[in-house]
Amino acid sequence: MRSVQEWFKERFPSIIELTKFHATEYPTPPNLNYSWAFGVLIMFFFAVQVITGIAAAIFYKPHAVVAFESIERFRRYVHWGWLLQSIHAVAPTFIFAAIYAHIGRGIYYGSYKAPREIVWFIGVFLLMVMMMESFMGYVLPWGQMSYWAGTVITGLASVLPVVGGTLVTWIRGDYLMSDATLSRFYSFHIALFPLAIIGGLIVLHIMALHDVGSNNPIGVQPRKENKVPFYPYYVVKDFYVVGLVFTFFLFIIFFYPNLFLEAENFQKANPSITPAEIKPEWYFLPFFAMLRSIPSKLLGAVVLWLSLWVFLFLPFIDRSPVKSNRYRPVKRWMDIVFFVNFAVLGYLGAHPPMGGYLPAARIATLVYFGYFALLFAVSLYEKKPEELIAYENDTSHIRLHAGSKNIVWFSILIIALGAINVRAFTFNFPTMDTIEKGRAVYEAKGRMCHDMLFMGEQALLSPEDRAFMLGMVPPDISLKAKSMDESGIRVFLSRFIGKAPEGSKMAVVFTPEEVDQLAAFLQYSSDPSLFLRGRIGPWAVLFMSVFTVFLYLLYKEVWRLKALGLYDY
Amino acid sequence: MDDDGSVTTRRNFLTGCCVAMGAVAVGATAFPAISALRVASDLVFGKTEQEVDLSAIQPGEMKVVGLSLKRVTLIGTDDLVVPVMVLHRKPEWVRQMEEVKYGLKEPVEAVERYINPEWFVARAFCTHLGCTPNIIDESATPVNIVCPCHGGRFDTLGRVISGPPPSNLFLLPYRFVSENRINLFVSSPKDITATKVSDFQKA
Ligand code: HEM
Ligand code: FES
Repeated sequence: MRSVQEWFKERFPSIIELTKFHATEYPTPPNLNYSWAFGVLIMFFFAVQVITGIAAAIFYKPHAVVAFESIERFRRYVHWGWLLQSIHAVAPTFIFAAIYAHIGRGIYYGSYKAPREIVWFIGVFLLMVMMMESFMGYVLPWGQMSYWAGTVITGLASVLPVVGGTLVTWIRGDYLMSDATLSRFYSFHIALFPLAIIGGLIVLHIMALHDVGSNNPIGVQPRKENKVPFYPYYVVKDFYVVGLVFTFFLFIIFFYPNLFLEAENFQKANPSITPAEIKPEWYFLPFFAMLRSIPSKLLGAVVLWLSLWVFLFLPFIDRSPVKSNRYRPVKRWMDIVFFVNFAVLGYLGAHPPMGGYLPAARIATLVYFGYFALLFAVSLYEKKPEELIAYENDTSHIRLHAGSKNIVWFSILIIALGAINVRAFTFNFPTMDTIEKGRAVYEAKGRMCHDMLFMGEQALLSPEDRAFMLGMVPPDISLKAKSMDESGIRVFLSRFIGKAPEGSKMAVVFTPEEVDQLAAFLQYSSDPSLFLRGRIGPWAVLFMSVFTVFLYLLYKEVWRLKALGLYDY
Repeated sequence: MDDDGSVTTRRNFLTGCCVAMGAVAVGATAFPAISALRVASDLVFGKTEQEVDLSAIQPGEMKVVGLSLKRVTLIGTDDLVVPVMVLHRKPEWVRQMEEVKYGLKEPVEAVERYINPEWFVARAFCTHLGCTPNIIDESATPVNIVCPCHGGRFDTLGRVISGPPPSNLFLLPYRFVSENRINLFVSSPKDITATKVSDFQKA
């Protein structure tokens, strides 16, 4: 190691300096809690998105005619495509959860205040571009939600006076959402945004932070001699958090891959049918709720923009000389209300703006903006407590934050990981036998009318005959178990037990067993990776769990030695 | 870093375990991504037959036809085209080749390279880097097939005489269905790397 470092030092010293400055030797406050691991966590997930995205981009076709099918082809016929595609679709959920937690940490501990305003500004821009990135990615599968979310969001630009209409067509590259829009979103989603904008902003974010140093739960900057180097102390701590979250992530990927995805989006885009209920991914719901609560097109869009841009002003709104909520009892409660209100907005965003939901959303929107107004007023009166002044005078009192409740944390960790693993190992997928029986039921009772093109099956009757007999062409049902959800498919099929329901054009009757078998077959046809997932999932989760336990033990051991003064870097 | 050994044993053990598991995790992440680059499972190399009419090919002429492996995927057709050369050898080329002595890089009996000496059928795929050797040089003795890319030279039975190609042109399965028609037939990737007619005539 030494000699390799020497060799580089003579030839490329700046890379050594850069690594030391930004990673290994970065002086870090000794008292950071787990919430300071979120930044690194986001970066890990971003790397995961880049890797799986590169794989997906090889097989994805940015063309309105085949985009939807090309993703199914990626899942079904490309080796490990199902896994790579699932990861790429589900990771944004974890990224946004981590980003919101990361921002929450920043708000709670006053990390946006001097001298970290620039870190904060870059952060807010990162939030905005991540939202655009995720939105454009969501359009790419060209499902129903892709199409309609795309229509609505690009339509937002039309509120601008005079140039609005021109701007919308400029964004879309066409008069309505179309293949032209899809193609440009593809280019932006895979190149411009992730590589140039997000990648660049992340680098700036870190550089800006490392010039001024990290904040900490006390909010007083420790002197350099009272800090600890990033390596090994925070490397081991951050890795532990990453391991823990990735265990949970793998569990979702293998056992509930559709949990966070919109069922409606498993239906191909149809420009003439708006889905009954349009709603965005969960992480946009709070903003969506605010947009919908305003009864004016222009004002709604303005509120939406303000709800993000207001964060840029936070460092100036908050006038207090104190950063951390540890010493700001009033702001602590305000923050808690703000966070809960944000969650409530999310909840309201998932429900149609009717009845009590609409006034509730309006109140929540007021609370959202009221927070900033109140913060300005409250912060004018806040003073620095004695305790903080004592810390400022002697930062060696800022103590290590580790070591004590070792056994308690360890027990909790083991129980949580154990529970995840028990669930993984007892997860029930349908058996091949049931699936085959379900296939036979489809052949006998469904194939007359329904295509299953992704399974290579065509309906026995031609589209013209079906249209003539039924007045409509029954849909392809290859992905129905996803677009209706497995339980939805069961409920639907159960209505045909014994006799067909009144008014249905689907003239079939099932026995209860047939419903089970069909549901199993449809589940399989919507995702043939089922068995492979079921076979390797438990082992992947188990491995990650054991790894996490070891990361935890290593973290605690490194910090224990440090706290005892037995071993120091 | 004054490591007296005893305090750090536990830490070193844990570090070792974590590094090892980390390596496994990185490998397990890379594996699916690398594996995805393999031929997708719907890109089958199915059984394909295609007839070629020889009657329009004059003596001394070469025709390159595309043997199309039909494939249907969820996003449409994705046919794989295998270029095949059909060379109508003049009687004097055949005679000349028997009379003139010349060196071969990879000697194979002439009878192993044709079914009917008048017709040479092979993959139009230079074994150097894959160009289509489609120039006939009648000034050489014996007559040469020349690859336009880097000047690889073959005799009229596709055996390398000189230049960078390391081995003779590949053959591929065909049979005469009548005097003037041949039938190309392949069913696996192995078929298109035959080197002797006996490779596919037995089967
Ligand atoms: C792509 C998204 C982002 C990435 C990869 C990222 C990464 C990081 C990393 C690695 C750190 C240092 C470790 C830590 O304190 O957690 C950090 C710190 C910070 N980030 Fe972010 N960040 C992102 C988005 C944001 C956003 C959206 C905001 C705020 C709106 C933000 C505000 C901050 C602040 C204020 C700090 C300093 C924290 C302190 O020292 O207390 N970041 N970021
Ligand atoms: S490709 Fe034919 S000689 Fe190089």
